[in-house]
Amino acid sequence: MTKKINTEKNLPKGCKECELGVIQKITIDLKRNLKRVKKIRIALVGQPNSGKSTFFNSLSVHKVNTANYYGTTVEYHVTTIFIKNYEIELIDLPGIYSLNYSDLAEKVTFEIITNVREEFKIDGIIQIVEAVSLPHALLLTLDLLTLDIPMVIALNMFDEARIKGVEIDIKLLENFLGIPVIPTVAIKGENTLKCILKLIAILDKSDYLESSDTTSFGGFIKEGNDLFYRASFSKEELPKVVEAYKKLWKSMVKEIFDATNCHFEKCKLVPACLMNIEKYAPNLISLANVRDEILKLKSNIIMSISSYVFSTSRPKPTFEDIIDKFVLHRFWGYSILVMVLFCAFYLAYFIGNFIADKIDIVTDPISDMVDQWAKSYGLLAPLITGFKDGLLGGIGIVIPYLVPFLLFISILEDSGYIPRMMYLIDGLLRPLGISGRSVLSFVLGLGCNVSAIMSLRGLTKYNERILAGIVIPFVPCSARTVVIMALVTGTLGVLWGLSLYLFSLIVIVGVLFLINKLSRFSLHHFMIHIPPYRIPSIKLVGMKIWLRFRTFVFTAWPILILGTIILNYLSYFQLDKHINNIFSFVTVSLLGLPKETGIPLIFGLLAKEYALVMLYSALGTENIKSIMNDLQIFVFSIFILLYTPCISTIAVQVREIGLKFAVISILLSVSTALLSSFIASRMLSFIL
Amino acid sequence: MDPIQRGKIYKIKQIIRDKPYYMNYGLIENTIIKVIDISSDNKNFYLEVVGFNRKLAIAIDILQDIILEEVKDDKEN
Repeated sequence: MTKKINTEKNLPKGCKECELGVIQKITIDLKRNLKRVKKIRIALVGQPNSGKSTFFNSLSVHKVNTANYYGTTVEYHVTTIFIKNYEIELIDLPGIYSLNYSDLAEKVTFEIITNVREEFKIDGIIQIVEAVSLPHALLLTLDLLTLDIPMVIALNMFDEARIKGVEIDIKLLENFLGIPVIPTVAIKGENTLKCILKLIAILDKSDYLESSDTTSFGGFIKEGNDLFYRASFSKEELPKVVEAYKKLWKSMVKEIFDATNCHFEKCKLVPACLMNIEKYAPNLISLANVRDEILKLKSNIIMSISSYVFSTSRPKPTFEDIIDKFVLHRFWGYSILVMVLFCAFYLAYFIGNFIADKIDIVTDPISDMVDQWAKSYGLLAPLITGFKDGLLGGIGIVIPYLVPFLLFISILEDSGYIPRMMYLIDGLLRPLGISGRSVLSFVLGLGCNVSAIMSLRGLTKYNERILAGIVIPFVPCSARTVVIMALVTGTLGVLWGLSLYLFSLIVIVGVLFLINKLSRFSLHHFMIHIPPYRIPSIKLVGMKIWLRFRTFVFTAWPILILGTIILNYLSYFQLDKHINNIFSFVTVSLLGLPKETGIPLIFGLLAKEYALVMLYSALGTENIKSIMNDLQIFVFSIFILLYTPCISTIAVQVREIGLKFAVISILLSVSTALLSSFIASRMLSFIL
Repeated sequence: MDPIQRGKIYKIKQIIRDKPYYMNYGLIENTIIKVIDISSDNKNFYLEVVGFNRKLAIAIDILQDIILEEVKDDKEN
C-alpha cells in the first residue's frame, strides 16, 4: 500500500517533514505500486537569492550549490521525488526578476516556464519568495499568474523576516492573489513538503486550469474602467484588479501574437512579448505606450497589495547599515577587503600546514612500510607503490590545504560580502573592460575555474562574458592554491606564497588591459542587488565543502592514483627518461628545472594538483628541497600557476565562450607562463 | 538637478527608457530611494529601494535614463 502523507501528523515518528528518510520511505512504498503513479513536473521559480536551491536541497537527495549572492544557480537542476501517488520531477531554476529576462541564466528559466522547451512541460509552479522583500517579489508573481499554471507561493526565510520586524498578512495576500501562500524556512526544511502537498491538492482538482478570458485594452477603457488613472486600490477591489491585469496582459500579447510571426509562436501568451516590443515587433511600436501604462498599473497593484499585507518596524539605522558604513568606506572598505583575503589565505595555510604535519606523522611510517613490502613483488611493485603514492598524496598533500581553503570560500560566499566586494572593485575594473559583476566570477574562480566560467551566464553583456571567460583561467583556483601552499609557502615562506597571488593579479590586469586596448569593449550599466548579511549556517557550509570536495574524491583522486601508478611503471621500464627528454628544452634549457619535472607538468594538464603529487612521486621524495633549489621551486610554481587551464576548464570554456576564444585563452596562458617563468628564472637568481 | 549626495532621499520622477529592465530591480516611477553610499571614484552609488526593502549597487550612468527628485526626510516616513 502506498503510504499517504497529507500533513505533518502523518509523518513517521521522529522525522521532520523535510528529512530525506521520509521521501525515501515513500519511494519504497510506491515502488510496490508503480502502475498507479502519476508523473508531474514542478518548477521552483523565484527572484535571484530567494532560496530556491536551498528549498530544492531540503527535498532532494541530489544536492546543489547555494550561496548568499544573486545568480548562484545558472542552469537548471532536476530531481525526482515520490509523494502520495505522484512521481514528481522537481526543477530548480535560475533566478528571474520577471518574465522580462536579461541574461542567459534568466533565459533558461523563461524558456522552461513558458514551455518553449517542449521537453519540459511544467504542471505546477512553486514561487519562492524572500519574505523580507515580498513587494519586490510580487513583480514576478503577477507575471507568473498570467501563465495559468497552478501555483503556490513559498514565503521563504520567514524566520529572518520576523527577526527584522516584518509582518505579513498571509490570509489577505492569498485573497488578493487567489493562490495559496505558505511561510517556509527552507534552510531548516520547514513547510517545504507542505508546499508540494498543497500544489498536488490543486492539481488533483479538475478545474484548476480554468483560464481567465482576455479583454482588449481599448474595450477595457471604453467599459469605464478607471484602473489606469488610479494610484491605489481598496482591499475589496484588489482581487478583481489582479484578474483584470491578467486579462490585459494576455490581450496585449495576443495582439502581438496575431499580428506577427515572431519567435513567440512557440510560447504561451507571456508578458515578455510586451516587454520586448521594440526588439521583436517594431511594427507594433505604438503598443509600447500601452505596455508602459500596464507596467504602471502593475506597480500600482504591487504598491496597493504591499500597503495592506506588508509592514516593517525595523529600527534605523540597522546593524547591517552600521557594518556597511565600514565595509564600503573609501579607506576602511579596501583595507577590510585586503585583510579578508589575506586572512582567508593565511588561516587556510596555517590550518592546512598543521593538519598536513599531523597526517605525515601517521602516513610516513606506513609509506616506508609499504615500500619495503612492495619490493618483493617484482612487476607488481610499481602498482602497489603507485597506488600508495596517489592515495597518500591525496590524504597528506591535497586534502589538508584544500578543505580549509574551501571552508573560507564557502563562508565568504554565504556571508553576503562578495556583492559588496563587487561594488568596491567595480570602479577599478571598468578601465579594463569588465564591471564589478564579473568580480563574482573571479572570486568563484578561487574555488574552481569551471564554476567561475559557468557563472558568466549571469552577465548581460556578450563582450564582457567573452573577456572574463578568456581571463578567468589565470585566477589561482583551489587546486593551484594547494600547489602554492604546499610547495611555495611550505618551503619558501608565507610572503613568497602571497607574492604568487599578487603576481596572478598583475597578470590578470595586464591581460585584461591588453585585450581591452585591442578590442575596446563597451560596458553595460553596472547594477546588482546587495543581499543582507547572513551568518553562514554550519550545515550549509559543510554541504558546500562536501559538494566541491567530492569532485576531488570521486573524480580527481582516482585519476591521481592511476597517474602515480603509470609514472611508477614508466620509471620501472625506464621510459620516463625518454618522455622527460622530449620536454627538457622547456624544463631544463628554458626554465632551469630538473628534467624529472616533465611528466608532472603533463599530468598537471588534467588537474593542477596532480602536478604536485606527481612531482613528489617523480623525484621520489617529499623533501623537495633536497632535489630542487628555492629558485627552481618558485619557477616551477609560476609555470604551474599559469600554463594552460586544466582539461575541465577548457571543456567549459569551449561550451560557454566558443572554441575560438578558448584557443585564444590557452595560447595566452602558455605564452604568459613561458615568458614569466623564464624571466623569473633569470631575474630572481639574485634573491633566491 | 544637483549631483546625487550620500544620505539623501530621492523619488524616481520618471524613467525615460528601458522601463521593464529597471523595473526588474525595483526601480519604478514614484518609488523612493535612499543613497547610502557613493563609491570613491564617484562612478557607482549604493542605495536602498525603500518600499521594496532592497539594496542596490548601481552605476551613476543610469541617471541618463532615470530622473530623480530630492525629497525631504519626513516624506519618507
